[in-house]
Amino acid sequence: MKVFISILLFAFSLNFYGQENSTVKTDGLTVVNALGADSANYIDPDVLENYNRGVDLLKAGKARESLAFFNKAIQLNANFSKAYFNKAIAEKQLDNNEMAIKDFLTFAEKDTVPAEAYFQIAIIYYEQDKYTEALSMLDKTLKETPNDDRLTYKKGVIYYLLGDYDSAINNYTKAIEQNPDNTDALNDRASCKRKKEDLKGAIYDYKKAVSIKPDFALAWNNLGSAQREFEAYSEAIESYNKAISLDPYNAIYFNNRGYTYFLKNNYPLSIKDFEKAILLKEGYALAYSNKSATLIKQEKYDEAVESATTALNLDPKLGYAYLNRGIAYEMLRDKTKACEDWQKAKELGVQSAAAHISNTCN
Amino acid sequence: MKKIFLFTGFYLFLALTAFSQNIPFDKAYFKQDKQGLKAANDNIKKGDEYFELGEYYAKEAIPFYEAAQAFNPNNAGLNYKLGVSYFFDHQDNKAIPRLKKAIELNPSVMQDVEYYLGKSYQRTMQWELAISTYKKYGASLSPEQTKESKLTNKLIQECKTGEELMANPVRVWIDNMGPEINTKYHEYGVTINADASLLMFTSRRPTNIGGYIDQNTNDYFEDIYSSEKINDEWQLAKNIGEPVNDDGHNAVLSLSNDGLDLFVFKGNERTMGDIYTTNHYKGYWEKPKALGKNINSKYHESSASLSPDRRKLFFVSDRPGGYGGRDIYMSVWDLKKEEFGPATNLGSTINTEYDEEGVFIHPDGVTLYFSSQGHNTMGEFDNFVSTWDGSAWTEPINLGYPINSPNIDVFFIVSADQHYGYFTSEKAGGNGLRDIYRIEFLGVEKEPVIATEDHLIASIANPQSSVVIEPTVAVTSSKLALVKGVVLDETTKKPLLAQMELVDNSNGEILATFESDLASGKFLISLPSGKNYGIAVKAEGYLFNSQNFIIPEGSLYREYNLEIFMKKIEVGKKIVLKNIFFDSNSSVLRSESETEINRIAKILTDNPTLRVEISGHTDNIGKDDYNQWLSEKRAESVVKALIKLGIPASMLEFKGYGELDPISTNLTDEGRQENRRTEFKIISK
Repeated sequence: MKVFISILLFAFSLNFYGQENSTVKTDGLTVVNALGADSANYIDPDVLENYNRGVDLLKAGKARESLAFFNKAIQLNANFSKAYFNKAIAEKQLDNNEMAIKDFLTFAEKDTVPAEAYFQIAIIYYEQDKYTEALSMLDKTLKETPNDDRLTYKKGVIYYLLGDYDSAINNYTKAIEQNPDNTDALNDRASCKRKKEDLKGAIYDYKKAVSIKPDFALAWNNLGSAQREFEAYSEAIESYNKAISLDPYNAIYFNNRGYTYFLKNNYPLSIKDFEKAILLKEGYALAYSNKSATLIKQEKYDEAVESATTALNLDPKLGYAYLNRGIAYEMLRDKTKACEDWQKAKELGVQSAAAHISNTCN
Repeated sequence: MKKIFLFTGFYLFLALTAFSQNIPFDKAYFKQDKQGLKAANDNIKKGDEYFELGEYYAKEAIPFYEAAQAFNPNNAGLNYKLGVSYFFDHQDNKAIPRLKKAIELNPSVMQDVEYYLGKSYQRTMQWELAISTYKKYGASLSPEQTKESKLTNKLIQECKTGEELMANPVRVWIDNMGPEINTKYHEYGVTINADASLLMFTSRRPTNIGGYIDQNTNDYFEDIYSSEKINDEWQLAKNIGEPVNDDGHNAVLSLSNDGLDLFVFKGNERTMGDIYTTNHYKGYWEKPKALGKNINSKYHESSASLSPDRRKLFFVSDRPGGYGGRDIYMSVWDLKKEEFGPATNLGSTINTEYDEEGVFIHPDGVTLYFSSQGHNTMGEFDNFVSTWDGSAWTEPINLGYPINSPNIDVFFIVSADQHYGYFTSEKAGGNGLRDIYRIEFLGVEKEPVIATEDHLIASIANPQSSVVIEPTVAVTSSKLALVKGVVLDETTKKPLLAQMELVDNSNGEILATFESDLASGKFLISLPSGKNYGIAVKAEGYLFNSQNFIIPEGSLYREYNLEIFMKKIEVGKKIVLKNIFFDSNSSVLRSESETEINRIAKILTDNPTLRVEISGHTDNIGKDDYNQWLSEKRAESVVKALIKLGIPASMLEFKGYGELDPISTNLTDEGRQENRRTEFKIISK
């Protein structure tokens, strides 16, 4: 979740307003217009100098230092809306969220295009787990720019994270209607359908996404996972192969293909993929745990214990590794250790561990 | 004429070629070594003397036959006899080459040579070879040999079953019980008490009483041996001695759950074998007594198992009127006559035209294990299980490979918690002959779990873990509770011989009566799930002790350990009446209390000079005044019920203590439950 937040922030923090009298290309919702010497929007040079200095510092990652210049610009011209916006961005970067919200709102009051400020506030609310407020801000943004598929898409993301997959699907669908080439929306809608166990629908959307954007590795991987859940293992492996060919350094894709080989009882290839995943992602506890599961199937119980132990050293909260190691211990006829591991797995929320304890340990 | 000669000559050539390797022990073939031939023939003669005595003596023939075989390894007849001798001695790996050679030297050496070869293949689990060999044997049979033909078809079916069962082995660890129990002699017929602390078995060792050998079987007479588990280790087994063992055959059949009653088999020249019983209530095994005529007949009775409520005896008999061979019967204890009633055959679902043996009723009272040569055995005796579904026995299920094998696998028993089993097998790898094995059940295969993750949302960098749908794992457990413990004098702490009455509180029915062991005070009671049980512990001169166990239907296995301190009938002594029940917030006695009320009435009737106080107590939930009022009303209800039974009011007082006299903490559910109680206290005598 934290990574998600930082990515959103990164995406939108680029949306600060650029220097006046220059054209700053941003990738966000608002386009900075060069104001120049437009008489209607004339700004005093002192104000501009301070503002532009703040922008430079903000761009250089010196948010704290930029604040003094934005404040000076505001002090000189209390109606200079863009200074409020960029000051808010700086506050946001410094985690002064309340101040940032206040500045964004001032910007929204003073500027003719307040959408971006509402969006930024939405992100802050989202970070603070205030999902309702975040959505409300997004709606305000949408009022300003109702046909922007990127906004609708973001709303879909928030609904997804709220677990409201129906609303997420509605928003993604709207985004796709607004922009049929929005492959992110297609991917995400497919993921919502997977959550709702509509695997056929998910596979359809993932396929659509990769047909529009054939180098969309992430969607190929997701297609593979949906096909795996649909028990179409051979097709799943084909999809993972495609994802891996596009992004051969992605440990997750190897981990997923390893699981599919596991389900096909092809344990040597399963092990190979888990080992590749481990190689690609240092400290990949999940892959170690999965490798231990496969080693159990190969009746290599000592090795399974070793692999699960490595997983647990990396992630002591990985309940499945305890479960797997317990199974290996049982097959090594060390019931005491098996039961201890299942107890830990149970405490970490692994449901089947309780049944193992009842069947074997009591 | 010339043609005829040529024709005859051709066949003579073929015959000589085909059988030229079969070399008789004849001087015509050993002109150069007449002495060696004589020695070989002498050895064959000596071997034949044992061989002709049958399977139990065939092993004695082996050294003589081997000596002759060294002189002439190419005689079909000798290879046959040597192969069969090895077969009887369970040395299949040696039997197979000899029998194969016998056939190679002379395919018609004996008609049954392929029968024995097929059996050896079967016993070594070479299923396809066994089937093809049996088919050859079957083809050699004449239409009149219907019995042999039927047997052959059965053996072929056994091989097919064996192949199937081996392909789907059950998940168990099987361990030889080790040198504390097994020796190079026969060990079999293991029985164990419900908490798996005492094990008994039968062995045919030189240490039997008298040290005699049974000439019929060429083995030592059977005696009973026992081993105790101390610190989780079985101790070196000892002959339990007289009076249970004597100089005849003494075999253990079963121990009761509490380990205090023992059923034994006794056989001697006078009888075909009968079932006897003995007990350990006085701290030693008493002289066994034969069960009555409903159980023992002039035929062979063997194998017996008593149900946990001690009401039903399952046993094996080959008496006429069954389904063939030995069958399993059941007899119900007649409370009035104080003996087991007429035996009933368990019917065709359980019994077959072949032998059934080794019956064992589980402490849950509804699961029956037995051994059979019929049903879908994979060879000889296999172990099966059937369940009483309330109206009939379910179709027996083969316990599967590797519990069962093509050899004799018999006398299967299982622990109360169903985690362990014990059985007797002739399987390869033992200490010698039949051995006792322990099984640890691993249950259904435990599936390891794999977890994955995906970037489900394109704009979110971190992956989300997939929801892992874990395999459903059924919890398999005995649906019963074991209550075990000791009965002691409250003051001296010495063990007491006490009578224990197990009552179904729902209808007052006495389900069973037990006694504690005088020497140790130990007792063990098995409580199948689905009842509200009352247990009254009584001893002469003591107030009864009252216990209550509500075991809901389907409850998983659980053990309770109790120390019951019996209180003498003296002024000031009090007991908690655990089988007095009221509805919540009510002082109306529930019907389940009736047995306990009767018990109190009995004490008062037997001790008419007593004056007692019946008191009510509550936990600290609710208002003090209300608790005081409720406890008093409840105590009064008990007193009124006693008066109704004819107890003079002058003997009775009632008092409510509310929450003022707790015997446990009020901070936990368990503690509060203990505090809500009715007590009986002697206030004068």
